[in-house]
Order: sequence, then C-alpha cells, then structure tokens
Amino acid sequence: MFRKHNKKLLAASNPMTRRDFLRLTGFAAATTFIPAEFSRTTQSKFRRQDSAILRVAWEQPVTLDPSNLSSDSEVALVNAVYDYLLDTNASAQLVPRLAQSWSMSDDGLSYTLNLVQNAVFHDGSPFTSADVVWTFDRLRNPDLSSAAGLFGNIVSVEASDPYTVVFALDNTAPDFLYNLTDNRSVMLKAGTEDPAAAFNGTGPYKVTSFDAEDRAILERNEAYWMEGAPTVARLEFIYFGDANASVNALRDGEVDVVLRTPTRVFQSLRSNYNAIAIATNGYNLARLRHDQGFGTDPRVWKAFKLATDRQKIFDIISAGFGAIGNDTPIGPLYADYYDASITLPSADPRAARELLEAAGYPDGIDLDLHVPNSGDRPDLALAFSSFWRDANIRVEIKLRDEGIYYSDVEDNWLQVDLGITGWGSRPTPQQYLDLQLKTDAVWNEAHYSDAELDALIDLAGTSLDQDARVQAYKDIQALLVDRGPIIVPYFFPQFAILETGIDGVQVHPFAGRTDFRFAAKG
Amino acid sequence: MHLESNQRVRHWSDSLPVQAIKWLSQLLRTPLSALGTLGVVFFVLVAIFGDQLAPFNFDENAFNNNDLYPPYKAPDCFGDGAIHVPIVDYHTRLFDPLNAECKNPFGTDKLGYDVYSRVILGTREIFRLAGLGTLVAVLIGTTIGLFIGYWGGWPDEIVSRLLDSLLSIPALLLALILLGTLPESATLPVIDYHLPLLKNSILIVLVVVYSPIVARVVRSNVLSVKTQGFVEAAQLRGESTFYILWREILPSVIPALVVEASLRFSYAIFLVASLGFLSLGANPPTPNWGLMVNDAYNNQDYICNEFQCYDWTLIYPAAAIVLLVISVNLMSDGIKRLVQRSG
Repeated sequence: MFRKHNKKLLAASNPMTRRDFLRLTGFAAATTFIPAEFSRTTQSKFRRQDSAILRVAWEQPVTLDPSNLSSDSEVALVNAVYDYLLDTNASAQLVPRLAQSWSMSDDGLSYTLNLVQNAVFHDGSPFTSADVVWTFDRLRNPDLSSAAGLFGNIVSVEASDPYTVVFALDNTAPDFLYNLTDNRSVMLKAGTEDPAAAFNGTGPYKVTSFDAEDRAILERNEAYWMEGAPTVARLEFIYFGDANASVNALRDGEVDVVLRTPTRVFQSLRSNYNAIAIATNGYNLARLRHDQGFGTDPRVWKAFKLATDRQKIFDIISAGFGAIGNDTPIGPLYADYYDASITLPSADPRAARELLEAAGYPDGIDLDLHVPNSGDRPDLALAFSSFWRDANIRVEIKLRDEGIYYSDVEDNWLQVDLGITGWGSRPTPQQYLDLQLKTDAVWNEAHYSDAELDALIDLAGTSLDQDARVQAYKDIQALLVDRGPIIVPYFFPQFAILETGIDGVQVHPFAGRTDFRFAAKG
Repeated sequence: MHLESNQRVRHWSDSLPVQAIKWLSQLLRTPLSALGTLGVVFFVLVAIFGDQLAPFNFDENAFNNNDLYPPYKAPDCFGDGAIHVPIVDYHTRLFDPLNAECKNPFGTDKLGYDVYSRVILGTREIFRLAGLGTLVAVLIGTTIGLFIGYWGGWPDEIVSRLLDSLLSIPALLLALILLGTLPESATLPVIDYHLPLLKNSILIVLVVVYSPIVARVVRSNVLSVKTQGFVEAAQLRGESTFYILWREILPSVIPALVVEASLRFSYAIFLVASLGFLSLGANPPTPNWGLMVNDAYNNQDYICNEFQCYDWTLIYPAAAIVLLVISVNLMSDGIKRLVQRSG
C-alpha cells in the first residue's frame, strides 16, 4: 500500500499547477480557485474534537524570535501560534491564509493584499493592516531579523485601509508572493516588545505552557478566523534531544506524530503505522568555506566534488527515495527550471588526487567535517569521508547537536570550514539562491563569491519574462555543476510516521510547516 | 628489623613474575575464574592479532569497497543443510565456515561495514581506551594514595576531601559532565600528545573518574602498612620518603592494587561502551562496540517484520560487550579470592 502511495507522490509532485500559476501575469485568477477548494475538502471532512490531544515530537527549539528562527521545531511552534499571510501546500502552490486575495500591478512593482477581516490576536485585539506594516518593518531590519536580506527589495509597506496592504518593490520580483510565505514572516501584533516570549498571534493555537526542554502545550484558539479550524482541542509539541528518542516515544505511545524520520527508521516502521512520504526539494549539502584555508584554492573543492559518487550515496543512504542531486539546489520538483540534461562526471578519485597535488598538497589534506546529528546526515558524512579518503582527503567526523550547530554559537554552521547542512524544502528555487549562494546572502555558508552567479541569480529573481527566467536557472545549474561551492548528492523526501487512525495532518515538504489545523484522531 | 625489611622486599618485588605465573595457574584451577581468565586471554589475543583476523578494515564500507555492496548482507557462514529440532519444530542452519561462502560471518550493516571485522578491531579499541585509561588511573591513583596516606595531616585532609567530592558524583554522570566540557580530542596533559593512541577525551574521563577510587584504596592500605616495624626501621635508617614509599610500602599494597585494577578495568569497559552507546567520546566510523550497538538501535535494525530483519548488526557487538565484561568480572573475582587467601 505504501509503495503505491509513495510512488504516486514522488512521481507526480504536481509542478504543473505552479508553473501555470507563475505564467499568469495577474494573480487574481488563482485566488478564487484555491481557497474554495481548500476549505471544501478540509471543513466538510473533519469535525471539531473537543477532547482530542494530538502529540507531535520535535527536536528542542533554540531560537524563538519569529524573525530569526530556522529549524523545523521552531517553525512548527510559530506556525501554530501565529499565521502567515500566505502558505504553500505540499505541491508548492500558494494558499491564502491571512491574505485572502492579492493582485500585482502591471509594472510588477507593487502587490496589493486583501486581509481577512475576522482575525483577532490571542489578547483579543483585532488583526489589521497596521500589524502587517509593523511586522514587515521588523522583518526588514537587519538588526532584528535574519530575513532582512530576503525582503531587501521592499521599498515600502503601506496600509491603504485596515484590511488592505500594498507592498512596493524596488524591482520586479516574480517570486515575491512566495517570499511572503518565508518561515520567519508570521504576523506579529504591532508594538510587541519581546516577540520571543509574547506568543501573541492570530494562529489556530494559544500557548498554555512552554518549556523548550520539555514541551509546548497549545490549546485551541476558539476565536480562530477560519471556520471549523482548528479541529483538535489540544496540541502538544513534545521536545526530544534526538530523533531516536522521538521514535521510541512513538513506539511507547507517548507521541502520535513523528516527522523528519531518517530513511532507515521510516523503512522499519512503515508497516505498523500510517507512513507518509512526500516529494520535496530538501537536501543535505556538503560545503567548504571558500574564503579561508584549503578552500581558497578552487582546485581543492573541485577535488572534493570529483571524489564523490552521488549515485552510490543516493542508492545506499536515500535507498532510492527522493531524487538524485546534481550539486545545485534546483531539483526535479521545480520541473520547469530543472535541467534534466545535466550529467555529472563519474567519481574519479585519481583525478581528485592529482588536482590536490597540483594545488600543492601531494600528501593530501586533513580536516574536520562538522555534521548535525539528525536525519541521514551522520551516514552521509561517513559516505563522504569514505569517498574523499580515496582522494587523500582525510576528514574526522564531528557530530554536532543540530539545535546548537544551527544557532548563534561560535563554531556554528556558518563558521566551520567543512560541514554538512540540511536545507529544508522551499517553494521556489530563488529562495535557496538568495539565501545561500549570492555573495551577500545571509546564509552564504560556503562564503562563496562569484559575480557571474550573482548576476544570474538577480536575473532569475527579477525577470517577468518566464523564458528568460527558465534560461537563467539553467545557466545557474550549469555554472554550479562546473564550479559551485556545494555538493548536493540527493533530494530527500519528507517522511512522516503517524499513529494509525490519525487523519487530516497535511504533511508539508518543510516539516515545520505541516498543517495540524484539520487533524482528526480516530 | 633490618632483616625483616629486606626479606619482605625480596618476597614481593624479586619474585613478581614468578608470583604472577603462580597466580595465573591458581586462577585456572577454579572453573569460573578459569572461564573468565580464558575469556580475557582470548580477547587480548583478538586485540593483538586483530589485523590478521579481520578481513576488512574498520572503515571499509559499501562506498569504498565493492565487495561490501550492497549493504545489509546477512551473516553468510551458515551451510545450506538445515537441522530440524523436533521438540520445538524449529529449523536452524548449521554454522559451517568451511563449506559456506563465509565472507561476512556477522553480516554487514546499513552502510556495508563488515560487522565481524569491526567487532574484532573494536576489541583493540576497547583495550586501548579501557585498558590504557585504567592503567593511567591506577598509576595516578596509586601515587596520590601513597603520598597522602604516608604524609597524613593536612595534605591528606585536603586531598581526601577533594577525592570524596569527586567520588560523590556517580561515575557516568561525572563522565558526561567531563565530556560535555572537554574538547573532543583532548589529551592527557602529562603525556606527549603526538601519540594518537592517547588522543581521546575518554582517557581523561576514565582517569578522573577512577583514580580517586584507586587513591582511596591505596591510602587505606598505606595507613595500615606505615605503622609496621619495617617502615619504622627504614625511617630510622634515614631513608628518603620516595625510597620508603617505593621499596617498603608499595610492595605491600600491590595485592590490593591488582584486585582494584582488575575491577576498575571491568567498570571501564562498561563505561566506554556506555559512552559509545550515548555517542559520546567516539565519532563514527570508530569501531567502538557501544557506538555500533547505538547505530543498530537507532536504525531500528533489531525490528523484524515483513520488510526487514537485520538484527545481526545489534547482536554481535552487544554480545562482545557482554562476554568481555563477564570475563573480566569472573577473573577479578578469582584474583580477589586468591589475594584474600594468600593475604
């Protein structure tokens, strides 16, 4: 049963709708279609369950300020407590949330969003366009938010009336509405002093108690603006130190839902649970800092790439789930933009050794490889170290606690020389490029700088000409395959294991954005 | 007095190897301690000749060795002929290394690592960590115990309270605290850090956790020995403190020390395996038994259902831990009995 289900989901990742959608010059057409369909399927099928408690396992959250968070558990909490203006669904389509409809000006420089009129914050005050303006002022402030770069193209956010907001841009940005779905852009109450502790959102759940070491207990927001939602009376996010502890808790009946399970665990549990796998564009990458140490010589990183056998990694670690990678963040999920004709050179450790020799390292090099201790990443580290060793690249694996590795500590993921990073799925390829690969990108973890790449990223992110965008993305892929700073061996699917009898959980490619509003516990 | 002192010294130090052999033969006389001793000897031999016994290196896997691809090969040293056990109506295959294929006697794991080779090479790893850690802990603990026991007074008071405070923390907890604060490849500060053998923070943990215990045992023995006539005689002769500790007192402490060292060693094995299971102090692909058990456990290899059954990745390293710990315990029980008898 699972196989059929999985195959269908992986093969038909539904890029058609999104592509058609992008081709629309005016976005209004889409607005009438999706919300009707969305509310019909969700509301008719599920009833409110007044005594139901849904317990979901997550890793421990570290950053709670919505404007700076990044990990799944952090996103999951704000996704329950707050609302986004727009969401994306599992097929990367835009779905309305606090913004019910929208339109783009003819020149592509301004977007008008119409907000829901019955949303209220948990403290009882109404949600209006002033809150949107305040939130975006905060998101655009680089001192307060890591999303400032993403929203750097916004010139102004103005409230033309209490329920209408106009975003003016300095340049065309065909993916702008997708940017509004960014994990950090939840709507805060204007004037909130400490968003990391206030928990005052318009979202489907109110925080009853929160302890990052233990759990968050969330009660249904009876005044939620969306009719019939949320269904389950109480949501508990239970925090575990590692993935294995959460799987054990599932087996012991202490939690009902575990997301982000490693491939092996998913394989072993799938027969006894409601196992869901959906296609994503998420990936684990390896990267070497290009601004210091060995990475300053491009031949060294080229040797890393030459020594890596991506097909073997895909076969063994991903066990055939997902899709093979090609060292770019643009995967087959982005059907139009993905260049299926790319073939990587097969692994050639001898050529890699020769490159290292040419770079002045005849005896090879020794480095530490920093790896978050989550998902399949430790296995991936072993695979890399095995391949690289044949090329005289000797790495010592350093397992790091994921929450700490991605936080603001001294030797975090942005600082270490050689590291593996998990990147969750994003609805558009542009977000990866803007966040990760542009010279001034906020998460440019490889510290890579390439003027040609920057120009192509800008072109892809601003052109209203769809053909030009497609070409730009293909050029970007060609460039990254040739000299890019990342190795992307495969795109992983999102695995979720649910207790049998749980229905209505809409698993999202980015696990933290999974929608529990219409969950039902049988 | 003088004579008694010299006799005593000769009795212990000159005949130590002879004594050791005598002990060993006595150990082999009782069945349980013989079993334990043979077990330990077996593991020591496996550790010494590990390279010859292991068909693969500990870091060879399906990625860099095509013989190990695809992963999760079942143990293949079982012949085709099945034996039928009539009472339970159960068919089992015969272990037949000569006639069966026998490339991966204990199977391979999810990344194609050969479990047999890693268990064998893990023996060396456990002796390196637990053995070396115990040795250094015994050396340091003995030195501390000798001095504070002999000097007494305020040095004894201060150091003893310090040791007590360390002893009041449970061993595993203390180990976790230390590993949380030490850099991963911390070295013992007194020894040349270029020796990769010593490059492991677990060694420091073992030394900090176990040397106070050894020091306490040695100190209490010194307290009873130092009032004896031969020590007083040496003091009257004007011998140096070092001489008295080394030649007069230490030999009397050795029996208790041997018992303590063997006990510490069995605890150290357990601690190293426990820390490995908690993924502490050992990074993959180190052939650490605890780490291997943890890996199999994390991957749910032990679950047997319609899709899978890879329990061999868990069984063999776990069995190795159990066998070694039981062997060392049986042996140290035997040593204890011997010492008590001869004491």
